[in-house]
Amino acid sequence: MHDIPSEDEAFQKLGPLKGLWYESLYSAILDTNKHFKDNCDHRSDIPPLFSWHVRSKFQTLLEPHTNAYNFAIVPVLGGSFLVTHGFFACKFRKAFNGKLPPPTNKTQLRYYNANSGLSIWPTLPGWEQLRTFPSGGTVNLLVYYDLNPQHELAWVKIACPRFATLTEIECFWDKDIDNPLFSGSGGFEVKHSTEEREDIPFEELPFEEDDDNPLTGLAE
Amino acid sequence: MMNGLRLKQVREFLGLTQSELALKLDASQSTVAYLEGGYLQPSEELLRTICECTGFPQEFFEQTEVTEFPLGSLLYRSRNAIDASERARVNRYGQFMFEVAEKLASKLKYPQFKLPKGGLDAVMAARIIRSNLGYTPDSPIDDLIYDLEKNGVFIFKSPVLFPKTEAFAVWAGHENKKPVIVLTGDTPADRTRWTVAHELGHLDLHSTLFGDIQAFEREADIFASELLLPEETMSRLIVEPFNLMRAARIRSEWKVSIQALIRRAHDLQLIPDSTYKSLFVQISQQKKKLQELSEADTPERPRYLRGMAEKRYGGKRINYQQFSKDTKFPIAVLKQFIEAQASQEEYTRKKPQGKILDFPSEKNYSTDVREN
Repeated sequence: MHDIPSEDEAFQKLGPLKGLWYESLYSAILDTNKHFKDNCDHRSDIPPLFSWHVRSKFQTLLEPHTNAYNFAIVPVLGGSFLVTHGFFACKFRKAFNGKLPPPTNKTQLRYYNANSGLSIWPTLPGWEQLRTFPSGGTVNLLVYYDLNPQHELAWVKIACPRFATLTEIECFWDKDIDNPLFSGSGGFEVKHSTEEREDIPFEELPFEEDDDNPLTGLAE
Repeated sequence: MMNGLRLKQVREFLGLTQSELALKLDASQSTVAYLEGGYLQPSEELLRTICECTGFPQEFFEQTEVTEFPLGSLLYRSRNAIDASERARVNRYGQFMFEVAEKLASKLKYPQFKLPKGGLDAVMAARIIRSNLGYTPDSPIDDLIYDLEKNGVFIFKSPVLFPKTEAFAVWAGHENKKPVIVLTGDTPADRTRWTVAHELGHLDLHSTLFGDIQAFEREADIFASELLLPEETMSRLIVEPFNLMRAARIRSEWKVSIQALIRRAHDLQLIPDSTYKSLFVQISQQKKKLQELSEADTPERPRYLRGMAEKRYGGKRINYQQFSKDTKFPIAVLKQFIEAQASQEEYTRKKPQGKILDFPSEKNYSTDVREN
């Protein structure tokens, strides 16, 4: 039986990858702003150009981490890419009017609707370890972000689409990724060595006793 | 015979004015002034009252030899930053802890100070110290307090915290040859590291008390920057576009505050003014959350004093009776001093094994045998 992880289960399985996405998107957007400011300021308001640049920079920033975070970058038609991690496939998009952007072509429509045959099953207490999902295939996710009026990253969300048309989208769930800098799970904590180490080497000095040895002649 | 200087030290340690102490003793302020100046000896009854009010034993006041303990880098604090009574109290805490340490040190073999001292500009001095501590420019210092204590720097954490004075450093002891850093502030871990590095800079560079105080402070900051964030590595790590998250990432490795890192990047001209300003605006917007991040880190604590006391007086269960008898300090004060320092588990990162049983110490045991 196919089924879909709940949002909490999916977030747990994605683990530190969420923080990496957030951080990389944050940097990609800053880089894009700088790029447009340095080269052609007026064009930063043209949404496709901006998001294309972000996507390209984002991919460059993700690439060095594929082994450490155990994910793969899969190129798709149109110069875009997917990230696969376990049974998840993730597509990255910029929000449209602050909401999940609708599919714009048939390929995207297929991606959005790929989960439609799956459903969320409740996990019975005690069965958490035995549960696996999905029993076949992948779960398609959409990672989408939006900007604030200063063209900085405002938020990042992950959605699990259930059904979509070119104008309408329905999701199993849709949840914000916390800013890893403040969520305590982004690896921003100070890294101290945990190796055991020696105490300060104090040694007792030899005890100086009064010389009461009669042979030395100093006793009296 | 009472040593008036001791009374003055205890009064300052307790944070009392002469009038306040006089009130407690049911005497006049001038009596206290005369006692402190050595112009008057107290009656037996007054001496008893002094001991009762201050908690210090009579033998403490009768000591004629008193350890020299200059103000050190406390002199560099402006009058606006710290008033005279707080300065004196901070100094007395440092002095008393050092005095206890000196008494313990006379019976113990301990690491001698072996870091090269001064004579160079701040950047070169920091590089030399870094290298002597065994760090290459591309490796962050893991635990500065640990490294310095291992190299013979006396570092103490004051049990009473003084928010206006985070720390001070002084060359003390016989011929002022022992480097001492006293931590007196309740600061987060990253700030404490910076403060220790800054005070080490004073010890290394400023043995003279004369000069431009602001220049001394600037030099100590440059020393701390180079010690904790070497230019050679920072210029590789900090590249545009530099953002808050990148700063936080570097901070987690290099264990300094985000603010210190950004200031360093700016000082080294690795980021332009606009980025510098923008980052500080972002910091002020996220101040509370960044503060929480900073406070999540456990501050390093020194162990010197506690380590010596444990070695000398029966391990983890210190024999405070004997400790007090030998040092002439009250048990309550000694306990305060010791508990402010790091325990062996904390310092060595070793997990305690099994339950600590209360066996008599080796010395007590042998005494018992002889008596029987």
